[in-house]
Amino acid sequence: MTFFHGRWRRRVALLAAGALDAGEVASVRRHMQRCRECASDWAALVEVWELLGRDPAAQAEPAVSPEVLAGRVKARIDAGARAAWAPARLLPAGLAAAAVVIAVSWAVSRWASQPQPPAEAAQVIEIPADMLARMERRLARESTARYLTEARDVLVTVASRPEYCNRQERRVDLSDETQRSRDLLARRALLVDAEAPEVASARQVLDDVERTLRDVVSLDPCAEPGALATLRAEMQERRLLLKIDIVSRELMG
Amino acid sequence: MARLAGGDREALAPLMERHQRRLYRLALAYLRNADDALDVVQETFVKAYVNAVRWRADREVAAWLTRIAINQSIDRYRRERYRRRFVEPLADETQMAAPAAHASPERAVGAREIDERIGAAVQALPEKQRAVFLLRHREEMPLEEIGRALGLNLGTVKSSLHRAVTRLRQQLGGMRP
Repeated sequence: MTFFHGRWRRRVALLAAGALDAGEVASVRRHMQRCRECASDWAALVEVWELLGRDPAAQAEPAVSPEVLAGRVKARIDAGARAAWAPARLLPAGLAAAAVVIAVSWAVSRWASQPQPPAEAAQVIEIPADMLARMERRLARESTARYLTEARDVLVTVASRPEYCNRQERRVDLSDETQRSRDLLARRALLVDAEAPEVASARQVLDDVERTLRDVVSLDPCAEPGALATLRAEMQERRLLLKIDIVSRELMG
Repeated sequence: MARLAGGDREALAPLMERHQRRLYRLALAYLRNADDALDVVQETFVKAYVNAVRWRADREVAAWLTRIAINQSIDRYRRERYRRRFVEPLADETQMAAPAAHASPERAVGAREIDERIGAAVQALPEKQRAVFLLRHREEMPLEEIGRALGLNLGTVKSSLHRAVTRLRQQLGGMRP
């Protein structure tokens, strides 16, 4: 009897939430005519459901005007488009200089309003060596910062409470995170030149991140809670996420 | 939406005008932090712009945007929860007010205290229950749609909603303005 009554109580809660179809509504109402306890539960739940409409968040207004919000959204879209165009993200460090030449040549040719294709512009425009060096250093720092930010996103998700893949054994689903870690490790050589002097301050953190991503890759995609707890404890002890934050900001200047 | 899918950024403005307040209130109800909620709203429209080509005409725009917003809110909550526990243990001043935990629900309480306790009770829900509850209560979304939005099966949605409602009743039952 207790088991069936538990099921009725669940339906009563769903009725109060307006989440039953017409047939179920009729069935629950018939039950409540016979069961005082469920009828009382329902009345209390309906009262709470209506009270929740007073949540202050339900009437709150954004602190900025729609025009300002629209401007910010457009700015983010533009920023996303620029980041996708940045060549050093995709090329080995050794080819980044060539990409910089093409990029700078293109930018200069557009500024001068000369309708020349980039290859031709590279032949006629000389890029000062110091300007080229500055751009290379900046691209190296930015791509290292982006790599660290992506690694941080993966590690934060690992450290928070992922969904269960096996509730009985309390195993958690890390399939996305193990794959993303694998991808990041594969891309590290393309994205980061750890020997470059401009990222010297990041070397220790880069090594820590690489070690931690390898630990994530070594976990079962449906991981035991003990293995995950060990990883979390190590990250906390090394304050890895904080260090990533600090170093990323330093690299971006 | 067709204009947005074609890359017409000016189509964002009418879309935002129609939906931004609703999405802000949903994100705020979930995150209980005004700055985070604003960020989620901005990110939702950015994603809407980027993914507009994937929107299908048989889908309601409001439900589609709601799905993006609630998942952004969940992701944000997970990131901020870890940061607050392990990186920045200091209290966030922009959070909505915490409740007076000692108040008994049986006695009559002031309106402000009721509002605070409602906010705290919602905030105390586990992340999945909170998402399911808010989509049902605020958006009146059908349970099947909630399941699709959150990647849950119908049974899980029902049990999450049941648990959320039961918990909220334990926190708020007997309160009268």
